[in-house]
Amino acid sequence: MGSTEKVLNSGHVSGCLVTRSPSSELRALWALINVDLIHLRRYLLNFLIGLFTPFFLLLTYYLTVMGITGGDLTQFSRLAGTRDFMAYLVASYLFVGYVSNALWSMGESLRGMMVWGVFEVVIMTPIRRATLLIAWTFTSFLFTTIYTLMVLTMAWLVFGVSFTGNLLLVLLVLLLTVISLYGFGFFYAGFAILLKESHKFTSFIQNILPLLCGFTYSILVLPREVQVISRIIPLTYSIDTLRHALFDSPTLIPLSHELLILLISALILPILGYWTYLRLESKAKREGTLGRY
Amino acid sequence: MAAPSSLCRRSFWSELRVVWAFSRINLLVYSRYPLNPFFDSIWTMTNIFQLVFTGVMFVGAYYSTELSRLTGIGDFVSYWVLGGLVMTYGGITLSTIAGSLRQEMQQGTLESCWMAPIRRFVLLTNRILLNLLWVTVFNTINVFVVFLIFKPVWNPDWFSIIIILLLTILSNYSFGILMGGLTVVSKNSGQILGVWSEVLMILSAYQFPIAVLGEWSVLSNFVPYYYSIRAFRAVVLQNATFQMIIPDLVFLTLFSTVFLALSYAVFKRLESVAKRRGSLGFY
Repeated sequence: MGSTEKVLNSGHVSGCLVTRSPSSELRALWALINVDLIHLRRYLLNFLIGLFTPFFLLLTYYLTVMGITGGDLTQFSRLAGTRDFMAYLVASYLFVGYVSNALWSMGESLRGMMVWGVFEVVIMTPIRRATLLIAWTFTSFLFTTIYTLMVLTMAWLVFGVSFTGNLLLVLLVLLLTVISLYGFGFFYAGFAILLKESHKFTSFIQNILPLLCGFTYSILVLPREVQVISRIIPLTYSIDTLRHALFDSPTLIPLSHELLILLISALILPILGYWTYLRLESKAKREGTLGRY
Repeated sequence: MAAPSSLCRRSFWSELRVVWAFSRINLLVYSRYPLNPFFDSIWTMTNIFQLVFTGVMFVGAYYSTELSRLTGIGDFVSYWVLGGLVMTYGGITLSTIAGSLRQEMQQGTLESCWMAPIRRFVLLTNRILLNLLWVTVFNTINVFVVFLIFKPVWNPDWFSIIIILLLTILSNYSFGILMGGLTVVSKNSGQILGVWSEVLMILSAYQFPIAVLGEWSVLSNFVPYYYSIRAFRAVVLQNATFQMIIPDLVFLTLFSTVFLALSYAVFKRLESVAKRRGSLGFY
């Protein structure tokens, strides 16, 4: 019996990372989250300044709309069901942070570790993949929620945006969408292992989703051919249902169908995403490319 | 005298070889991931299209009477595409220095590069040249697509265009150096750069007429982009001659010289702060 085995069998280190247990997973989770928190503290100024980004985005949008309409919102209200264009934008912005987060947190965490050359080491530790994936998203999910609250606060304070409507439905849509997005994030993490340099691809997806799903407009203004693609993406229905819940705007398809699509996405995407991640990770292991960048 | 053109003895040629060496590294990394050029070329296009469709949502066409009333240009597709084009050139100079410094710090090679007998100017600038080349390639593709889809009416006076773009690059270089200085001290300046870019974008009135800024528009006078974009649009969309844009070019030249000297002095100061703290190589 080797010395390590003796120590393990003696029971003195039952909660250590070598023998997996719920408490060891929790400690690993905390350790990984702590890394992010240390990183945040180290670059605190960067984080704090980032919180004010929404203000500039909202201001740019406001000025652009005023610059091209001069306050005449007839065309907009016909399609949007509201004249409050800032509320219309902010509603979509509830998703922007989470879309970015789902893409960047996992995919870019992996890329970061590959760049620093620690990915293979982290993967070899006796920690469940699910724990690792949750740890990679947890802190950024927290920051995204803070960021989203900043968007809402600034929109309320500076532009007088307030939401009425079916807030219960809003919460349901947000919950289902966030679950789907993180499911997509799992899939994306696997893709990042395969692609290595996922940075540009992430930016591309982050830009193409608002374009196709109509973050700042109704997809009805898109060319018909593009609308076909938009209607395949569940996120389109998330935004559409949210706008309906807030502004009573007409939906693209019956509301019950939109909700069903969101529910199916929330159920399938996390499972499919996790399965895909595991498959792509083992493929990289077989090919010996896990530690490469 | 044994190695007159080696890196140990600084000369114009040795500095050029440094630029070439860095460019080769970047080209090598870029070509290692062949999908990157594709994503990069589409990135700007998606931004443009998103703006255009937002415009259509609000006015129902590719023409805004309000924009025409305030600027004399109603075709908002051209208005935004040309503004965006100028912004991409300035943006490269603004972000490349900070980006490359951060990259060197992450990879742990900044201190070694700093200690090498290479002029600081060359170290800070070398990546910009290659990035400018890429931006030109991507902008050409974007303009081609815009012409294919929207068929705008443009009258390019190439001489004026080149002068405006050159001065845009030079005038924004000072902001780039400032961001570089901030990166040396604060290490991670990504969000600072993001917010600064947003502020410049608003004050340059790239997406809207300057008139909607009201009293705040006075601040635009201190932003080089404002003059670049105004001159660029005037030349391409309103048939302005070179003589007509000379006042804007004078301001851009002033920014290129005065601001550059000031920002370089600030950079040296911030660099010495990092050196005193012994944090130059840290990230």
